[in-house]
Amino acid sequence: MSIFRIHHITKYEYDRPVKESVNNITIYPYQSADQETLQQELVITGNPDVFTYTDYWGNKEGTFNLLTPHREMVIESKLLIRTLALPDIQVPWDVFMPELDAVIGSDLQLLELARASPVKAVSVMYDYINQIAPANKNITQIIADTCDLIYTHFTYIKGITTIESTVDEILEKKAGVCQDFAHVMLELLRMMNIPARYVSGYICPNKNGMRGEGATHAWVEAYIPGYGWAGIDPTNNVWVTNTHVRLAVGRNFTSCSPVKGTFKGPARQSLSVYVSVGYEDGETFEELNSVQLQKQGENEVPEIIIDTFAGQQQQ
Amino acid sequence: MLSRIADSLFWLHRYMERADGMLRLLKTSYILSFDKVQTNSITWEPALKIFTSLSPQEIEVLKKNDTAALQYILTDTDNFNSLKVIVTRARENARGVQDQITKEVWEQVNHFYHLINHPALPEKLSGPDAIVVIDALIHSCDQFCGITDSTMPRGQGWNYMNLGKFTERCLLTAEFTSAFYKKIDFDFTNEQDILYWRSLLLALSGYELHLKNYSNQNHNYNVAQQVLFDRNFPRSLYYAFERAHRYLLEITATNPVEGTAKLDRAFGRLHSYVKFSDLAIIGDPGLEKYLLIIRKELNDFGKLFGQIYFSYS
Amino acid sequence: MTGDLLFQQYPFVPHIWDEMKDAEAIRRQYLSIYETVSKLSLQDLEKKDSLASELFMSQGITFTVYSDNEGIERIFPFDIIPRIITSTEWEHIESGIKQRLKALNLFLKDIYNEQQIIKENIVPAALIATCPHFTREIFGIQVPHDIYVHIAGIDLIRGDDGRFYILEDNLRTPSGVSYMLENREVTKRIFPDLLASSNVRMINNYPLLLHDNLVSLVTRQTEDPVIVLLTPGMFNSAYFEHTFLARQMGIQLVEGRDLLVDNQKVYMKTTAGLRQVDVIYRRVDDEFLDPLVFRPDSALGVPGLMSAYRKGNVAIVNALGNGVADDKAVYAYVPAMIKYYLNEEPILPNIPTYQMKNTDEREHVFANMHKMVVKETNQSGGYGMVMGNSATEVELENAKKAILANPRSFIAQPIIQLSTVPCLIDGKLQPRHVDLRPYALCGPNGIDIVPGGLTRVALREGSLVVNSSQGGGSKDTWIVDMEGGH
Repeated sequence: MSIFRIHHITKYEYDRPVKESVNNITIYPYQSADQETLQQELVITGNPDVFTYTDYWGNKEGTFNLLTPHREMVIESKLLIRTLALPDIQVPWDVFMPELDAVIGSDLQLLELARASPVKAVSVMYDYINQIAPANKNITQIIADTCDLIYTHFTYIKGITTIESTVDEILEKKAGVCQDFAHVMLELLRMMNIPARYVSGYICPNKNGMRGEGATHAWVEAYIPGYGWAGIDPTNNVWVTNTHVRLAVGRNFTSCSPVKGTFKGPARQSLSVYVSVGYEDGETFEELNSVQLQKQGENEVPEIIIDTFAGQQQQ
Repeated sequence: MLSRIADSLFWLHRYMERADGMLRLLKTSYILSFDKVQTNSITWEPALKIFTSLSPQEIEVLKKNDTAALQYILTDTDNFNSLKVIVTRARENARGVQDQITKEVWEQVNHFYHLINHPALPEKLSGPDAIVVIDALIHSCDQFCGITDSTMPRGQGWNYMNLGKFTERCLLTAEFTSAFYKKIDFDFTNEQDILYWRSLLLALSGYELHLKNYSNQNHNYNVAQQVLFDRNFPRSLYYAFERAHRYLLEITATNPVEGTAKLDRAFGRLHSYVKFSDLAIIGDPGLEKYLLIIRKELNDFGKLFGQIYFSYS
Repeated sequence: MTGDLLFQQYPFVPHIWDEMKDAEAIRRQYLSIYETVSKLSLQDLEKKDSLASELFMSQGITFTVYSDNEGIERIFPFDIIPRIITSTEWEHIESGIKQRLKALNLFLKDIYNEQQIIKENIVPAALIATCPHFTREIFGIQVPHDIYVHIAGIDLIRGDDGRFYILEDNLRTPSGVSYMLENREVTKRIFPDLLASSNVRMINNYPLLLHDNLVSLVTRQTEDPVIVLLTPGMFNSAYFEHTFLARQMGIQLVEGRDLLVDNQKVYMKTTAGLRQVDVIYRRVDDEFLDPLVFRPDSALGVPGLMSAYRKGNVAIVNALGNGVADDKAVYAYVPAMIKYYLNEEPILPNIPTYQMKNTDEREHVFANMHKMVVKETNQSGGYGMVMGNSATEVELENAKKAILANPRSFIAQPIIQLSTVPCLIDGKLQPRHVDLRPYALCGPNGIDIVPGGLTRVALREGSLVVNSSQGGGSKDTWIVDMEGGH
C-alpha cells in the first residue's frame, strides 16, 4: 500500500490563435478496487466545464471545449492516490487454455480483446510464438514468457517511434517505448487467443529505477480465468503491483489516449507533457517531454496577403 | 440566415461582378490589340496587372502574345483568378445554396459555367472567333444581372448578394481607373486623346454617356469626374458606394451582433471619403494616393465584414 | 401499334412470378391500367415517356456520377407504367415491417445497454465482436423514447411463389424517398384520370409525418425549436434528396461546418449569432459525424457532437450504431430476435442465409455456387456481390478465395428469381425484375409506413440487380383498394 502524489501537465501551444477547440481527456484514475483516489484537482485554460462519462471499457472520460481564440491550452492534473495491491502478485500457475476458451465462450468483451488485428509480418510473429512455445504451458507462464521475450528482443529507445507507429513498424525496428512494447505484447497474446488489453497510467519509482519513470506509462493486462485481469509490464519485465497507477484500459492506445482534441484555425501546434511522481514523503521523479505531433488538417496554409485585387478571394 | 449561406450569396455576386468587369476590360483590350500602330499601346497590360498575380517580368512577356494573354486570363486553371476558376467558384457557391436562390438564377449560373467549360472554347479563343466568345460571355453576365433582379426575393439574402456585388464594383472601378491614370502619371493638366480614354470608358460601359454629357476637351479631368463622382453613372465610385452602403445598413440593422457598430462606422467613414469629395480636394493627396486609400480601406472592410458575419469556417 | 397489341405480346415466363399477368390472364389489380393503356397508341405512350423525362430533368431531380473529377448529373430512369400492389398484400407487408422494426429497435437498445440477447446466446457474441458497425463509442447512451431507427427503408422482394421476403434492413441513412414522392408527382401529370379513378392511396404526407416525428424529439422548453438536415454537401450523390426534404419540411439544410458544440450543446452559426439546434436529421454516415470520436480526418462532422448527444441535448436521426442491426450476417438472426423480444412468429420471412464462418454451411455453398449469391456483409448498393448464375468461373474461384481469407465478411443466399412487372422498353411492354423499398417512420406514437414505396427495376433483360448505381430504374408504386373497384 502506497500513496503517490502525481502532477501531470499537458500543454499545447499554437503559433497563431485557434478557436473552437474541443477535447477529450482520459486522465482520471481507473475506477477499481485496487486503487483509491484521495484527491484530484484539474485546472484547464479558461476554466471550462468538463462533462464526464464512463466509456465502453469502464474508463472515466471528460469532454470540454474552448470557443474563443486562444494560443495556449494547458491541462493540469494534480492527483493524490493510494494503491492497494500487494507488492507480490498472487497469480495462479495452474490454469490452462481449455479453461480460458470455455470462459471466453460468449463473453463479448473477452472475445473482442482476444481478437488479433491483421499484421503484415505474420511469420515474424509466429517465430516469436514458437519461441514462447505455448503448447501445454499454463496461461500465466505463457504471459510471463511473452513479456520476457519482448523485454529481451526489443530495445528501449525513445524518439524512434511515434504515437501512430504500427506493430509492423515496431517489429521492423525491434525497438521503441512502453507503448510500442505494449502493442507488440497485446498482438502476440491475442494471436495465442489470450484476451489482453492496453493500459495507460503512471509508473511510480522504486529503489531499482524503472523505465518510464516520471512519465505517462503503458503496459498490458491479460485475462486469467479464476483470477481476472493480471497486469504485466513488458517495458520493465515485471508483473504490475502497487507501483503502477492505472488511468484507462482499452483495445489499444487509441481508446486510452490521455488527451485528444481538434481546433479550428491555420496554426501549427506544439505539445509538451510534464509528469512528476512522488511518494507522499517527498521523493520526486519528474520528466518533461516535447512530443512530435502530426500536423492537423490544413495547417500548412500560409496566411493570405490580400493587398492585390486578384488576391481577394473567398476564404 | 446561416453564415455559410450569407457568405456564399455574397461571394456568388462578387465573383459574377468580377467576371463582368474582367470581360468588359478584355473586350476593350482585345479590340485594341489589332491596333499595332500604337507603339505604347495599352493592350493586355492593365488586364494582366489587375486580374492576375503575375510578376512585372512575366507580364512583359505575356502582353505581347494576344492568344496566350487571353487564355491565361480566361481559361488557365493555374491562374487562381482566371474567369474559369472564379466562375467555378461562383457555381459552387450557388450549388451550395440552391434552396436559397431561385431556379432561374441557378440555371443561369450553371449555363455560364458550362459556357466557359465548353470543350471548343480554347480553340475559338485562339482564332478570329475570340470576340464572339467574349461577347457571348458578356451577354451571359448581363442575363445573370437581369434574372437575379427579376426573380430573387428581396430580404436578407438579397442584401448580402448586393453588398457583394457593389463592393466588388467599387474595387473594379478603382482598379481600372488607377491603371489607366498611372500611364499618364495621374496628371490632369496634360491632354490625352479621347481614343486613350475610350478604352477605360468602354471597359466601364460609360463611353456613350461621356460623349453625351461631357465636352470634347479636358478629357483627363472629365473622365476622372465621370468614373469617380458622376451620380448617374452606374459604375462610378460614387454610385457603387451609395448602393453598397444601403445594403450594408439593411444588414447591420436586421442582424445586430457584436461588431456591427464598428462595421457601420468604418464603411460610413469610407463612404463619406467618396461622397463628400471632388477632384479639387483630391488634387491635394493626389489621385494615386486617393485610390490607394480607397482600395486598402475596402479590403480592410471586407476582412472585418467576413469576420463578423461569415466566421463559420 | 395499339396499346392492346402491347398487352397481347407481353410474354409469359414460367417459374417467374409476373405481377401483372399469370398463365391465363391479366390480374384483377392491373385491369384499370390495361383498360387505359390499351386504348392509347404507342406514340401516345412514348410521348408520355418523354414528358416524364423532361419533368425530371427540368426539376433537377438528378443524382451525380463522378468520373475524372467531373460530376455528371443524370436522371434516375423512370418507367411510366405504375407497379400495383393490392391493399390486402400491403396490409401483410405493413404488419410484417412493423413487427420487424419493433424487434430491431429492441435489439439496438439491448445491444448498446444490457446485452441480454448475447448473454442468452440468441445472437452469438462472436458475431457482434467482429461486426465493424458495432459502435462501442455510443455504448450506454440513452436515446429519446428508446427509438434508434426513426427511418427505415427495408427492402422486400417477391419470389416465384408470389410471397414477399425481406431482402435487407436499411437502418442507417436509407435514401430514395424523394424518388418515391417525385415519381407520384410525375404520374399525376401523365396519367391524371387513371390515378384518380383507381383508388390509389396517398403518399404525399411523408414529409409531414417525418417532420412531426422530428419535432417530437425536441426536449428543450422552447417556442421555436431548431431542426436541421445535416448533409455532407453538394458533392454527395444524394444532395438533391437532401435539398428536397429540407424544403418539403421547411427545415434548415446545414453542413458540418455550419455547426459547433459549446458545453455539450449544438449551435448553428448564423449571421445573427449562434442558435441552438435541437434535432439533427443527418445524412452523414456515423464514422464522419464527430472527428473527436470517430475518423479524425472527417471534415463533414461536428467535433464534440457525441458529447451533446450523450448528454441528451440534441437528438440525432437515425441513431448512431444502427449498422450492427442491418449487417448482412446479423440479418439471419432477425427472425430469432422477433421470437425473443416479441414472442411472435415472423410475419415476413427472411431469405435463407448461410454464414460463411460456419464450415458446414460454407461447404454447402461452395458445392452449389451457381445457385448462390455471395454478399459482403458490410457493403451495400449492389457492390461486393457475386451472382453465381452469371459470374465466370474465375470470378467464382476468386469469391471462394476471398471467403476463405475472411469468412466473417461474407454471407451467401440462394438466388431468388425476383418478380417481374411490365416496363415500356424499345416500343414494347417487357417484363423486368423489381424489388420494393417502403419507407417506415418510427415515432413515439408508433410506426407509420406511407402506403407505397420505391419500386426499383433492373432495366437490363434478365438482370436481378436493381441498384441505381448498377443500371437500375424506378417506378411509381400504387397501393390500390380493390373493394370499391372492379
